[in-house]
Amino acid sequence: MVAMSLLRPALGPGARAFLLRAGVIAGRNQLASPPVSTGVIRKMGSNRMQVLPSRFEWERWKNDIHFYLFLGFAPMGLLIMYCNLVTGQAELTDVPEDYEPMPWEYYKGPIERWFARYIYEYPEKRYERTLHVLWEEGERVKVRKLEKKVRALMHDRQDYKGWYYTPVDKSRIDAAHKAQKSWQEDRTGTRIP
Amino acid sequence: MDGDDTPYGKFALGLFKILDGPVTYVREKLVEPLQKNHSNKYYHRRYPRVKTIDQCEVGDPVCVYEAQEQYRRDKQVDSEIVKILRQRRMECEQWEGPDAKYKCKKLAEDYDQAAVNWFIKYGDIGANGNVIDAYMKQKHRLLWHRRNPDKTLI
Repeated sequence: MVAMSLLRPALGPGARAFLLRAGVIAGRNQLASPPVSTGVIRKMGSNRMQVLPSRFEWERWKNDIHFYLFLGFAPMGLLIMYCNLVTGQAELTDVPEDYEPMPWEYYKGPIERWFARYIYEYPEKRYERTLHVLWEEGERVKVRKLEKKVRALMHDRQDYKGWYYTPVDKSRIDAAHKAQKSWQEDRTGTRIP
Repeated sequence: MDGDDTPYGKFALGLFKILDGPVTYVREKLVEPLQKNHSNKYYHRRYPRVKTIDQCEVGDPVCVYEAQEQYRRDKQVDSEIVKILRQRRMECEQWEGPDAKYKCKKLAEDYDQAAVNWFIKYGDIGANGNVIDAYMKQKHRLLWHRRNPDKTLI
């Protein structure tokens, strides 16, 4: 489907180029350059340019056909034909007792199975990962709710030391406070009580 | 087939064989011997039943997600069932023509019942309706029935 839509813009100018080319080939035998005017035409030099319509569109169209057919359609077509002829479609069977099918054994076509096995993520793995992510977020929600509740109760009752209070050595803070006070006194020249 | 030994039958079969002959030849002589050795099997997915939304705890996102997936699959199954019943009824009415009134009566009743039940369960909750919306719809419906015991919905 995509290949067809890629080719469609090439078909119009290709047809036009084809008809143009046919007209040029038909008229090429008669004259080196078509008579465009009956006035004076200057013909200088031994290597005269052949005044012909542009071959660009025709060459470009051939290019496109070669590209899409021989690099796109033909290799993919051969590969798909090989897979379907040699490996073939899978048969639908009942699941045997106590056997868990592999994730790629739920698909019929050989290329689909290959993609499911080597390229795409197994749906079971994605499902389990989704469940895990939801569980983890649920736990976080619970912890946040609990924290909020504890903080609110501590705020209301004012009877418990906050669990975020970590006891530190007071000497460093005192020294820093003293140093800042003396620096301010030196700067302003006053004595701060 | 039935008329294959009549002259016209043989002629028609001959025309068919112009197209079918090469295809069958390629299939039986070239393709099937190649495919005899690999024979892959494929299965239909089986989904074990999990807890429905009414059995899930509040604030259990895993249970709710699994219930939602199960609801989605059940909705697909129920939609296909309703489609099949609708097709059967349409085909019967098309086939019987004027006799449809009494010949397709059972099919029409079955389809109507199934469509109403589908609508009771899944209808009117919007394209984004999830399992919790359906559950709440059921809750409100049962409340309405409790408050209006003498009335019917339909």
